[in-house]
Amino acid sequence: MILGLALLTVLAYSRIWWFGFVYDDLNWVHWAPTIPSPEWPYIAKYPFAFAAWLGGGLPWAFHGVVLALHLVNGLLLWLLARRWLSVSASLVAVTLFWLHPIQTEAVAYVSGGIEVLATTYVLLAILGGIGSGWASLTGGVLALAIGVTLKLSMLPALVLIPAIWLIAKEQHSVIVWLAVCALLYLIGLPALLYWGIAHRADVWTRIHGLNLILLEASRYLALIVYPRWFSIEHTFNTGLAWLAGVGAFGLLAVSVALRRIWLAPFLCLVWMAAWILPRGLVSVQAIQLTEHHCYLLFLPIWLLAGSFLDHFVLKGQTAHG
Amino acid sequence: MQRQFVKYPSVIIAIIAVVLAFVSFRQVGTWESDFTLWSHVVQVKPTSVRGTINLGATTMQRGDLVTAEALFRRSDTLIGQQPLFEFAWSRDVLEANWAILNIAQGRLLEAHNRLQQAPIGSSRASVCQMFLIVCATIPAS
Repeated sequence: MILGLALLTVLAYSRIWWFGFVYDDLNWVHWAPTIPSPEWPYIAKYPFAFAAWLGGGLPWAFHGVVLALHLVNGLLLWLLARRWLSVSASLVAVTLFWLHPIQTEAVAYVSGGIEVLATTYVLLAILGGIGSGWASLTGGVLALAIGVTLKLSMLPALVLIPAIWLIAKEQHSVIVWLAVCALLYLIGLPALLYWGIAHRADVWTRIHGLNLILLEASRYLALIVYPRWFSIEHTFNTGLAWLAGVGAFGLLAVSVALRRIWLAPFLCLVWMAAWILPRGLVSVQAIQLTEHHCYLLFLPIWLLAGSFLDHFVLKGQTAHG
Repeated sequence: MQRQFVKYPSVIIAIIAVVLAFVSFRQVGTWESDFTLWSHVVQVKPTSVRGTINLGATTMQRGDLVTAEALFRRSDTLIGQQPLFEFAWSRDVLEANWAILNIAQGRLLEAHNRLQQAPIGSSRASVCQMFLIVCATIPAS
């Protein structure tokens, strides 16, 4: 079944081999053959150097490498999902991850491939962190992820979330929730230090920035349910942004209330909040998220779909969830 | 649905997969080229300033100067309607692209005036540099 899904994914993306470089691609792909170089020293990006070598700088090889990474990520997600979910639920999670159209920007747009590569490292780190036999390499893998993009600096803290999930399943104690809050603080602080200096703004501007990014995230969440008519452009207005801000707190309240019978939505929100709150708070600009940024951000959403299946459709059929 | 799923999970997952694959196959086409990307953006959001400017620039590269100018005129109108927080650089980018279009049309004075209007200092410097490079290539072509 997994092989069939992988083949279907290759089929869905079969046109990318003939695609060229688009938009921002040419700003960076010409550095790829020179990795590591004084200009671009990150060994984390070696897959793109490989693509440059393989295709002589032509786009097809970059597209091929990104598609291959997407397939690898699906397999890693499958390994992760099988730790908590039934076979059917894990298949649903992987199906959505591989084939949902919201992933197309990350996979078909070479610049979006940076998120795909970062996700490979993140998934390897998570699997290592929860004991897949390569725990000792987790730190190195995380360093690679940060090498892909500095915005992943909060990753070391985020990778603890699955561990907290496992602990929380055993004991629903206040200490766990306090740990989550402390985790969020630890994540937010370095992010504020990174971006805060560059984006000086008053409190209201920061709240506005937060509302905007929540609006962007809400918009993409809605597109998961109804994936039509989406593009890299957004519609913004202050009213909608405030609505998204209030809606996010509503979701948080509901997930906290549900946590004793279904923990997954709360953990999913923690992961997403850890990503977007620091960025929203320190930036004053719109367009902080497009679809390819959702590739890593929405990783737990696919697991959530599988978890929903186990809890409410296949209840009693499986031992996990 | 619950009973169906419990009974035939693979079949239902396969149906979901095929439907998603079809939608993704169509969506992937958006990323074929700059032209398909920005055409899609303008189709989905006709008020997009970035989309309209970039579609104009791509159309200009394809040699359709008339359509490109129409798109730049539309962008000019849209910039006045957009929220302040959205794309402060829009005016700069528009003027730079429009100036290149004017140069291609042989309207050098108009191009010069557009570059004077570019509001952000650092961008203006790079735009002027680009203008000079393009001007230097005109006699050769």
